[in-house]
Amino acid sequence: MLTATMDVVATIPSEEPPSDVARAAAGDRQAFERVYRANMQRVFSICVRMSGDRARAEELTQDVFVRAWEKLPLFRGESAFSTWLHRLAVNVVLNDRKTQGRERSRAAAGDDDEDTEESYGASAPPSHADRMDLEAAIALLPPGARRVFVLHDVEGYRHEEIAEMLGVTSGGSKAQLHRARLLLREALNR
Amino acid sequence: MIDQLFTCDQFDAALSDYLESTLDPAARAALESHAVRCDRCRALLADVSAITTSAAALPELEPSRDLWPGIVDRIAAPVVTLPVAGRRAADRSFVRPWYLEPAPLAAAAALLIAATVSVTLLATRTSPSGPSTVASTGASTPDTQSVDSLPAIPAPAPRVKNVGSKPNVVPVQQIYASEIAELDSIVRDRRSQLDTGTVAVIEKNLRIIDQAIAQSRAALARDPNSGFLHNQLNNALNQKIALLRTVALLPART
Repeated sequence: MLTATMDVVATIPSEEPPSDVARAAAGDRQAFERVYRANMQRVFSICVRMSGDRARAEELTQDVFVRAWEKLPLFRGESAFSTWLHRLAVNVVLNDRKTQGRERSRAAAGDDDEDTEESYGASAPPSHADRMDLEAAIALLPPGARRVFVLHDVEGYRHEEIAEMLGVTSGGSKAQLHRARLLLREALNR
Repeated sequence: MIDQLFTCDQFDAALSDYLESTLDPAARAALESHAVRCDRCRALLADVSAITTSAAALPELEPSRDLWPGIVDRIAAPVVTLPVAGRRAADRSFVRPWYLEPAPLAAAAALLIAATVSVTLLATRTSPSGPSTVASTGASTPDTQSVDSLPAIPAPAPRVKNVGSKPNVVPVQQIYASEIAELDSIVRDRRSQLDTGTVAVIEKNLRIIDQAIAQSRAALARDPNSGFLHNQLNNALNQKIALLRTVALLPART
């Protein structure tokens, strides 16, 4: 029964009626809760996959919706609300990364390139599976490669869009994607 | 043959473009032809194709707990972002200044409450027209002056819950402006009695609040009917008044 219910929920498009978004923009918290319920899983998913940390992703998801509440009055409907919210989620995760990067660089006074292979190669695969699944393998990718892979292969952004979001070149995005795919292949075939 | 131009390295280099269908037809044919003949590259193509297909079909994830209570707590009491103060509060190395320690704050709060209650009671007793008259009567009430010879502090601006309708906006903003002007005057007079470091912190925070006020007003100019923006503006103004009142009640430096 529960499974059946969840299946039904999963098939409901995340685009809620405009009235809920409009009401939330006008300060209606109940409408905003409905907006949250309709979009929470998608936002949480991108937070998990881009950050590689479920606990942090829960905090980031809350940040996204608090930010959405603050910015909703500025939403003009030029794009679908889900697209707007999704982009907001990506920005929140990327800003969090920048903040953490600054703190790390202050602490270590090192290169801000967090893409060492160390964490990927040294991390143990999840104990519940003999063979790593794709979700776990993505979480263990180096951060830069993980972000590009998630944005491109999971979320469907184009390299040009990713380059703009991450402040890299389109070629850099392609290179990270190729690297991510090869690392994932290696992990999944291990 | 075009295929002969493709080495395994070239295959690797072209693979991403192939998967994104951005290779020209000749190169595409050459890559596919190479894959047929090369076990290593054929396996690579199959694996990477499977990964991209699986990635696009990954299901949505569910958090381990209901995140809504944490969200509603934060949006229920919207505050103007104070980046500097917020960052410092989160930074354990930040040393809290003496006037933000619990004891002085509690004393200031007690004085503030006493002054506010006195002024509000007096104002509401003498004027049936409600809180909007407080600003004009608060500064010179005997009750306020009796609080340990502290300067007379205007009572808090009225908290306006529903400011979405235009008719309320102008009077409320005038009340805020009047109170802020009075408090500004008191704070200016008190400045020489306060520690210079304290004054610097106060001025910095006032600048931040003023920025928030300016941003809210600019956003309201674009969207004058937004209840949210009106609340943001009123919250920022209330914060400014609260800070000015606290400053006005700070003890002189020793």
